[in-house]
Amino acid sequence: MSAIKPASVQRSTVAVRPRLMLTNTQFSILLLLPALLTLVFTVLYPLLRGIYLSFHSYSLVDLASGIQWVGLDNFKTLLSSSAYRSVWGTTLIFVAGSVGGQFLVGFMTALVLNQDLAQRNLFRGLLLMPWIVPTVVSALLWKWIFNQQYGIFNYVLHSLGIISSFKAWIGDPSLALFSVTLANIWKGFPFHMIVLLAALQTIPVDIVEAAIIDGATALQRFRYVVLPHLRYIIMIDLLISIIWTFQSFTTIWTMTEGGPVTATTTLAISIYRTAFQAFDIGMGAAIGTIWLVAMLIFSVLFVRLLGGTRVEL
Amino acid sequence: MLSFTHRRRLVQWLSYLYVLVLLVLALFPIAWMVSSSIKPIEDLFVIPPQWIPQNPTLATLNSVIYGDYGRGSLFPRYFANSVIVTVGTTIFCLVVATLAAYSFSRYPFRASNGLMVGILSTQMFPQGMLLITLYLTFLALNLLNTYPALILANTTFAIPFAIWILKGFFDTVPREIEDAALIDGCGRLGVLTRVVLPMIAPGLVAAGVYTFLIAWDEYLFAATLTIKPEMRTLPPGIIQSFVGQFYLNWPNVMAASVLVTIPVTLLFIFFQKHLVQGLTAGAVKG
Repeated sequence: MSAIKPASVQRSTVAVRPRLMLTNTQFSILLLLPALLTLVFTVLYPLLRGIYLSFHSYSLVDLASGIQWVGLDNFKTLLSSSAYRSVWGTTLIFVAGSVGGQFLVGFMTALVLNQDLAQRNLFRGLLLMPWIVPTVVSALLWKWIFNQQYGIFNYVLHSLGIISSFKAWIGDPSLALFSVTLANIWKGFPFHMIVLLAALQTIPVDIVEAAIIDGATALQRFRYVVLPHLRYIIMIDLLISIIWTFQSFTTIWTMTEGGPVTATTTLAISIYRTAFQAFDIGMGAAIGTIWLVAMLIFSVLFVRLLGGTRVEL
Repeated sequence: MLSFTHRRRLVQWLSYLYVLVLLVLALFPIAWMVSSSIKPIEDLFVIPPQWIPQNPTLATLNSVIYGDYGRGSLFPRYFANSVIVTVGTTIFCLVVATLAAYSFSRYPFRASNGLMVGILSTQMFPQGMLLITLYLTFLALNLLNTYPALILANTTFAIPFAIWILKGFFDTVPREIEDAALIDGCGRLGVLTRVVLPMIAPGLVAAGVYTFLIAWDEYLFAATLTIKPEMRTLPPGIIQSFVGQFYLNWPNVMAASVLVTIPVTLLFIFFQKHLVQGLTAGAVKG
């Protein structure tokens, strides 16, 4: 043992030899630099420039006028437009329906799979498949399933006597939002299942057993043992999926392009249509800026309300 | 009143029933896609539907890959583009995110927590809004229709999540091991590459597979930042080739869909354990 000590002392004096010595903080910043520089170029600069553009009129159709300061005009136009308000309505229905549906199915499945079932891991793997399928593929697949004439959705519902005539699930403005949401629930529930199942497995067995011995019913165990234990992870899971579902573009664009008319035009679709189809860059940026501010406020309130204590990342 | 064991058995049967129904709902659409892709076109448009193909054929898959009516197919090109962009994104993000995650996990300084929150909150920035500037910038730099543009654009959502996953793994490595290596004269970077990285290999796989999946999936950026057909990746490529304004070539769409799904399915089969572990490592410690 005594031989080791001098050796390590010797080595640490070697470390003092003149070479590039960074403090831990400098070393830490150096490690962060590649990620930060990339994100500054791909996220921070585009974000700031987007906010800047939202106060300007800039049309790619009318390049001669260039970028012109218009103050709050874009925002005033948006807030007084009923079309814009209905985009928000569509977005909120889509997000609430998707996240609500995904969470309920995912949580229920996690609770079921948390039991002692044979082949549990196989079931879990197979149930993850919808999440693995590329989004474009799942959107096209559901478009085929919802096909009015030859789609199996109509055929199955009709055979079961649930509907009396074949419906245009994609083509009918009153059904399209439902269809798109259903496809999105199918695609997204496994994520919630996997996250919540992992969290359920961290609940110590002895706590659950103690509750059983104390005569707690299954419902009481759920309410007083499981839910408090999962509160943090449920909060993170919901927050992430709400943010992601707001961003959801591919499923809707592939299935309906935001139509028929504007029945499935969410914020994500609306920005794309405004900026890249009507080439009204300033207005597209304004839609994004309001959305961003709304998301920031929502996230802070959400974490405050559900998180209680400080959030550790 | 049911006895305890009876009730337990009932719950178990109901559980199996639930799983069975959900398995059908989850997997049937995928089976239907495969079934639709190997039917001759006249068997596709029939009611009642043919659940199991009566005359299975690889003709549609062939025409997707090799083209038909004397026209070549761009599908192999899309596939190659997707592989290049996806692998490029994965390698780039993995390197950059590993360094950043290690910094957050092991050498936190005053601004670290704020930076981490900032990086994660980029997920809520509207992608369409970022895309406006990315498009204008790449246009000005003459980088539209190039792989670097697509790879850089993909980092916007891939880097933050990869950092989150990897930090979860770094946090599980006992500090004493690194201290010992440092005392033994290993430099800080050497500790990371030679001691810590091998220990979090499963985390690297998880973050890598996750990045691969989302890069393979990406549609919005790829559709906007590439205009030349031969530079498109699979998601916009398929839409471009087979989905017209008024006509949808369903047999080819289903066959192409199957081909796009095969690589990620294989990846998932091989790395399922890592992926599940990775998705939950960052989340569950709370």
